[in-house]
Amino acid sequence: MNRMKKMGCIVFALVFICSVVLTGCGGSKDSTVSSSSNSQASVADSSASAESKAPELKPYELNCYFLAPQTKDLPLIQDEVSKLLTEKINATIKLNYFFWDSYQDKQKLVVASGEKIDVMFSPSWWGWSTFVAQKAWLELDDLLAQYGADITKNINPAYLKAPVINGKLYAIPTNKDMFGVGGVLVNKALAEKYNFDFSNIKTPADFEPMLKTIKEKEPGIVPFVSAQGDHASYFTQDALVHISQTEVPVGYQKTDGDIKVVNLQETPEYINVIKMTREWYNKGYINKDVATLKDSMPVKKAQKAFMWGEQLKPGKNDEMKAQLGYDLIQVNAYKDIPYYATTGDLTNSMLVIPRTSEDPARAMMFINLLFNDKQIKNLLDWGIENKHYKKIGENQIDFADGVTADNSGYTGIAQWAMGGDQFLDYLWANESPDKWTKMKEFNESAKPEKLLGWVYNPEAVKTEIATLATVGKNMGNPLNEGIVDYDKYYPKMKESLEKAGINKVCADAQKQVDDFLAAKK
Amino acid sequence: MFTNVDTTLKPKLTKRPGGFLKELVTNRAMFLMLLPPFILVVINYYLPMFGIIIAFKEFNYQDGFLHSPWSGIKNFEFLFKSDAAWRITRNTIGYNLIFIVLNLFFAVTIALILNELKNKVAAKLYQSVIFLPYFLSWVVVAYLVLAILSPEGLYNKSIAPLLNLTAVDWYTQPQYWPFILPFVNLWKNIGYGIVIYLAGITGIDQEYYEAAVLDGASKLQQIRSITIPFLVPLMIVTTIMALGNIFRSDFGLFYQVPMQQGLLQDTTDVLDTYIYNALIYSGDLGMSSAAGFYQSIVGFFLVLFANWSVGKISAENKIF
Amino acid sequence: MKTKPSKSSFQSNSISHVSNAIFNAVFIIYCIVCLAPLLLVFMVSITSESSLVTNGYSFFPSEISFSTYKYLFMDSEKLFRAYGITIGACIIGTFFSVLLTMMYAYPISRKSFKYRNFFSFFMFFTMLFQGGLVPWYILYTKYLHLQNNPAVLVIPALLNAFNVLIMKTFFNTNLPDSILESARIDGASEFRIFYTIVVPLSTPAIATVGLFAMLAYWNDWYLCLLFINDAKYYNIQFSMYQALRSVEFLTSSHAVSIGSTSSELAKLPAETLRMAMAILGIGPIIFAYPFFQKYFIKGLTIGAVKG
Repeated sequence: MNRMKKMGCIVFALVFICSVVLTGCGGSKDSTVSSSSNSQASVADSSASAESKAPELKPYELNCYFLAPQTKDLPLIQDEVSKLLTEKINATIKLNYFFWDSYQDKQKLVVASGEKIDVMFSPSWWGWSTFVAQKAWLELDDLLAQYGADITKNINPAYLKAPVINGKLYAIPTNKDMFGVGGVLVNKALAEKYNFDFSNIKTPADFEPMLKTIKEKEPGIVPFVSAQGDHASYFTQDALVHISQTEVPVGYQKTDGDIKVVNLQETPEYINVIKMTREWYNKGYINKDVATLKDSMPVKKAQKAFMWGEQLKPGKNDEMKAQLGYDLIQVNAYKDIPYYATTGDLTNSMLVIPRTSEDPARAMMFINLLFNDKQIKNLLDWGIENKHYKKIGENQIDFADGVTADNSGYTGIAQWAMGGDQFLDYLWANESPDKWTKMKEFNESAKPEKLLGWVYNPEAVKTEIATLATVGKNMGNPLNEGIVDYDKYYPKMKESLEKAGINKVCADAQKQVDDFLAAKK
Repeated sequence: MFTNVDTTLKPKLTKRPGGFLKELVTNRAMFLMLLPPFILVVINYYLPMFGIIIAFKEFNYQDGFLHSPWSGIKNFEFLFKSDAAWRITRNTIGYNLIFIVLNLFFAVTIALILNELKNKVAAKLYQSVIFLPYFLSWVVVAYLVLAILSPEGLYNKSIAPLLNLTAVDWYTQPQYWPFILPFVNLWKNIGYGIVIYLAGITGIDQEYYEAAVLDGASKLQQIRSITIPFLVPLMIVTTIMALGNIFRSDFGLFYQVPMQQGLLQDTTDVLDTYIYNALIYSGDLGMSSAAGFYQSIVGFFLVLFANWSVGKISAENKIF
Repeated sequence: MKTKPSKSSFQSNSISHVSNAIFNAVFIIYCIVCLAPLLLVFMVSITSESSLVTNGYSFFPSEISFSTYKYLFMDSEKLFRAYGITIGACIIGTFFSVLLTMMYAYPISRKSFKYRNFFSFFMFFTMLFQGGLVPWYILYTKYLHLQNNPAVLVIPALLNAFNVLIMKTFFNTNLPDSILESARIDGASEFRIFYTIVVPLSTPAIATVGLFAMLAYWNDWYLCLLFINDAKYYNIQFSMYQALRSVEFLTSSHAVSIGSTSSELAKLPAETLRMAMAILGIGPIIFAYPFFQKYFIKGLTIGAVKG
């Protein structure tokens, strides 16, 4: 033991010496990083003057992360975009695509790794505000003013008021549908086979007879397909707003009256939907493997699904047809209710510039191009002309010859998540040519909620939010998927949520809400 | 296994001062040889030890690793205030204890029986087959378990109907996993233990048995009074090594096999999966590091304690 | 390595035929338990879709179909790439792992090396105390910039205390100082001694450590999960893990050249695709297993007995 102690002392001494040395070099390294971010404004200034003599920009590689599947032809797209970007802003691009099964995990890892990232997809429902509280994203006000002229010109002004914390802008939202309607997409062929009538659907419960018919008469077809994080809870979003990421069940009910921040899992709207989901699960309308299924796309693609939950907007069914290859009907879950546009809707697809960007100005120039350059935007959305798609009209496209939804090397990109101005996107042959006009009308039909423009700032409770996210993800999913019984299961979850500090978060948020409303008056 | 490390070398430590430079010259080849792996050890194992300071910080990306404000023990307070700390500690230690006991018991028993089988060719074959799962990765094992337990799997579609049992949705029922996981672990790892103990058995001098036969001892008596006593040191060392690691869990087993099901976390969440998930779901580096620090420090003292208790039982089996 | 039992004197000292038979039966059942899951996965991978829908997973599918394999091999580039990464990491990693382990273990096993105790403890201490996932991850990514670099699939697993201790114990017990001393007197340098005497005399320990390292590299998915973002560096185990999470990983990438048959192929049940992927991942190790398990057992045996 004596020898052991001696050894221990020596090793600890060594550790200590090394740590001092390391702290030394690490310190200097870190200070250069922070000084570069401090001097970011001056970098911006110098490149601003450079922009007046445009071609003098130094070559730079933009490292970007998007929510999209890693498709086969990604390297080709990357090369094409790089070519265009070299002409315009003397930059090349590295596209990193991750899809539903891995984006959230990878995002946390790469941000923690301190990798140089220039542009990243970061929606509010995946912890954008927590990242802001951790100071992972840059403030964009100055950059936007200098390099984002086309953004401010083309975007609906309401958007830029949303991702604002402590008066500073931390993301550029995508210009698109301004609110979502909860509902379902239905396989049209099957619906017609059984003459289903969707005109009198008033609540999600009205779908049940249809599901029953499919269950009985179509073995092998899943009546209501769900997967992890992709289930009937879409139906609740017409009534409820999450103020942080979706895993954290804190938010408020959409109303014109007083706004109360509550535990959303105790609201009647939520409980109704969850109990209905449970019933559907028990009756076999929902696939039994919902708990282990990470991604329901293959089931949908294989035409083994009758219906599934979805966030709807005009033309959603036609958009999905391009991915799935068959006709769909879209049906709202609730009829005759007011649709509110909320901050959550305005921030559900955003691009950020992380602190690790070595040239934030160039990153902003790239985002700006997504708002005015039809060529680049559509290249990212649909691939290469005549290879992946062909033009059949000025704004209309179809699959290139010999290409289908199944074998294209570049489809299934979530276009709404690619950032920029969605109104620049080409439309598919099956889509109505006036989709964008309709979308504009749709956007105007929304009723702005009282809290529009308010974003929750979780800075004071970010550890609580982090823990709540873990609890919500682990314990909330089974509820949403219908595999557990609310009455039996929820009390335990409630206990965990309370231990994780849900009441503190509610109180903190309530105070911010009250302050916001008071200031507005 | 590494019992008598260096016990003979103690006296040489008392040396003249200034010996290091001299040693550096005389044994320069040794130092040169050590240098590359030494650097690797420093990088891979020692540098991360300083990172433990994150556990005491309120981390933000602007100030980074070193300049983020200190938060004292807030991260730890949080870990223990939520119900996570108790759950993961209980699961980690509980599962490891079960694994140690099961693996020890079955490995020794199977090794003893294998050794007694009349047909040595068959015995070799059995051993090979039992050893096979040890070579599979946890990803593969997760596939195998899924094929049996999934709602469409062997149990629900073939076994249950055949034996008139009710279908069970295993991946949503936490109460079954304290049985499934030890079984899977045993299934995968037992081959290794058997090899070790078989080697121990073949290492026993046959003269003891011959003498026992002359005395008229039965097979069972021979095993009890010769084989097992000879295996005890090996058993103790193996167990101590395992006890020392009782605060670390096999990430692959607990991450892959339950398919990251939140609903199962009550019985499948252990320290290593918690640390990983804290990093992935919440992105809170401080919390994740705090849990990592808790694991390291408690694990450290458990090793010291385990070693100390071995010293009390039989001094020559101490690891250090 | 030990004296074999002399058979004649042992005839009387063995278990009865009845218990022998019982034990054999038990072992046969246990062996089936070991092999059955692998067989099941294989059978599911060749089950046709209609059979899967009606009967679920079964050892005896009513209809057999190899279309999943055809499908996977049509876009085999990804698969072979993953194999290439794994095999590359395996070869490079095993070689350097053995080399570095020996380079660490040799000096600390020599009595003539004064600081051997310090360096032994320096290595051993890593078994007692570690920095944890987060600092380790940040070190490799933020400071060494190894994320998304295939080298990261090799470096972190090169050296561990367990292997060094196996090697050191072997050197301690099997390399008498006298041999080395006489070589030294003949004027051989330390490095020469190392590769002309130490290496050839240590083949059993090299085999053991080498096989441990190889197994670790072959079965690794964790390093890939943490550090690799680019699909072209995914190794085979991680590809299997991805396929388990999302069949899209397999289906979304297939070549345009598949042409018109593809829409039919796209309707393949996800389950059989997954299981086929598992079989392709397991395959090589099953075929190599009979060959190398012998050496593995031998190496482990030496480690255990001599330790």
